[in-house]
Amino acid sequence: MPSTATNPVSVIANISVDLSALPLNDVRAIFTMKKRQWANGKNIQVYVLDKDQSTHKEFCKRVLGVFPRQLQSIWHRLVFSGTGQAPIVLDNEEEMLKIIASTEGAIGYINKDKNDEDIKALTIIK
Amino acid sequence: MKILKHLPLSSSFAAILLSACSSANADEWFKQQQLEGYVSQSIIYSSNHNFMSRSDDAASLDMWEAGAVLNSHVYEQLSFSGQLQGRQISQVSGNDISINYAFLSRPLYTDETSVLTGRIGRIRSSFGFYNETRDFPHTRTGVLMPQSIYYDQTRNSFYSADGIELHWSKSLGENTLGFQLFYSKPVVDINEAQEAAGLGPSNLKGDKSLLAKISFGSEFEGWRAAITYYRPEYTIDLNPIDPTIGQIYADNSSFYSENIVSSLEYNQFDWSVTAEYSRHHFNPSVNLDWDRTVTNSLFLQALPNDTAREGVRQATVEQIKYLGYEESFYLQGIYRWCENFESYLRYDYNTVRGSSWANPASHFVDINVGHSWRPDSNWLVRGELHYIDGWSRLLNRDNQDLLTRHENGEYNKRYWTAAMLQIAYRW
Repeated sequence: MPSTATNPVSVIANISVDLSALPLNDVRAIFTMKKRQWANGKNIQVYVLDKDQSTHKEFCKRVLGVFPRQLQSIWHRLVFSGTGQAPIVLDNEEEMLKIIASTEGAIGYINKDKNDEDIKALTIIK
Repeated sequence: MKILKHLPLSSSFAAILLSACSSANADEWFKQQQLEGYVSQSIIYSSNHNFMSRSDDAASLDMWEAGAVLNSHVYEQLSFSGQLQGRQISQVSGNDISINYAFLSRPLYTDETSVLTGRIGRIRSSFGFYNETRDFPHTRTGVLMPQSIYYDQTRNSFYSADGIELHWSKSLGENTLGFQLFYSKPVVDINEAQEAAGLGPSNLKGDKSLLAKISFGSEFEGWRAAITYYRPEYTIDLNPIDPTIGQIYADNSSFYSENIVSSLEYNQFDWSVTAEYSRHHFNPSVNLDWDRTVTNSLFLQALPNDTAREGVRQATVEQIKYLGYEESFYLQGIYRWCENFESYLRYDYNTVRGSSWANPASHFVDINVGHSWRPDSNWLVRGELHYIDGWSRLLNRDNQDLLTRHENGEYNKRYWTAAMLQIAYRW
């Protein structure tokens, strides 16, 4: 189960994403690269922060409910079996905000302190 | 170097990349490529036998792995995946540098919850939960894969094959339903064919192969399960040597290797339990050249009449027919202490059906425990201990005296141990 401690991370999306909330199962399917399209048929563009950043670790543990290395292991299975690609890794949260705001169908996450008007924060339904 | 055998594949690989570079904006194209790699070095010490290295009562550095994987968008939704890998599991076995897989992939149908993908080229055989990712140290639980199911004796032969695959997956709430169908021509590895020394194989050629797999479940909390049916078929000259008869001639024979792997896993945040069971049936269609066998056998010529020789012939055919009927399973528990530390305990079991337990050459029971430390997401350090009964998963080519011991009835080394350390880096 995802940690019940206060979740400091927001899942964010581009304004073009026609949703305000996402079931946890969908969040997991998206960030493990299994769900590739939004309901409107647009491709989902997945962005993550560098694996050693604290916001990424918090996202893995408190939102997805896995250790970061387990999520990475799932991506490795895609990459090293040739059956898919890992998400695009960004260097910092400023870059995450900028990319999510400017990329149609994009989804990512940031620390809740860094919310921005140019993106939308999605509520996670557990 | 096996890479020389894969030049046509390498050329295709280069042509795809060059054409993509010249036809698109180069900067944009390079942003869409993913190139990753890994390297590992192991130290192995074992008692009584050489285990994946020259490790018999000595610390061996023979085992190493290195690989580079390219995932590339070629054109629109068409993508390319390929892996170049170097690997050595002992000095005796030699090194193995090859293009493990290289294939084109394209989604044929996509909607919000499902994807149907077609692939063509040299594709990994995805039996069990872990064959597809067995090479990458960071996706393994220990230094070695469970040898019961993911054995190294014929790894290359069953690792990938040239063919076409359809892969369909559908998200169903917290679970994913998947189905794969893979039709191919099996890859033949001559060193591995020679590993089956008792069969004296030569002129081994891959014929055709079918793999079907269905899977269901979640990689997060809860269950996931899979069943794989895998049947590669080969043509072969089977020339086993029988201690009594001598050389047996069975040219232009064929066989299929029928594998059914059932997989079950339960995951929680900080622990996992995995069990996989495999039934492997090596089923030859023997084209026995009995006249030639009799001509070359003093034993058969000395028999009193044709009736006696016919009895031996029938017994020989039956003996060959039931070679390699194996059952294997492993049960493994993993505990994740924190982000950086993980431990596992595994019971690994393999036996040839109908064989005597007194003969250690026909079984392999490995109780092993290991611990890993990941100081960051790139580095991995792990160690493990093995207590083993039996030899059936030892490489014959690294333990040339095994058959002699078997014939001499020397079973006193059936129980043995191994200790391993591994350091790995990915980028």
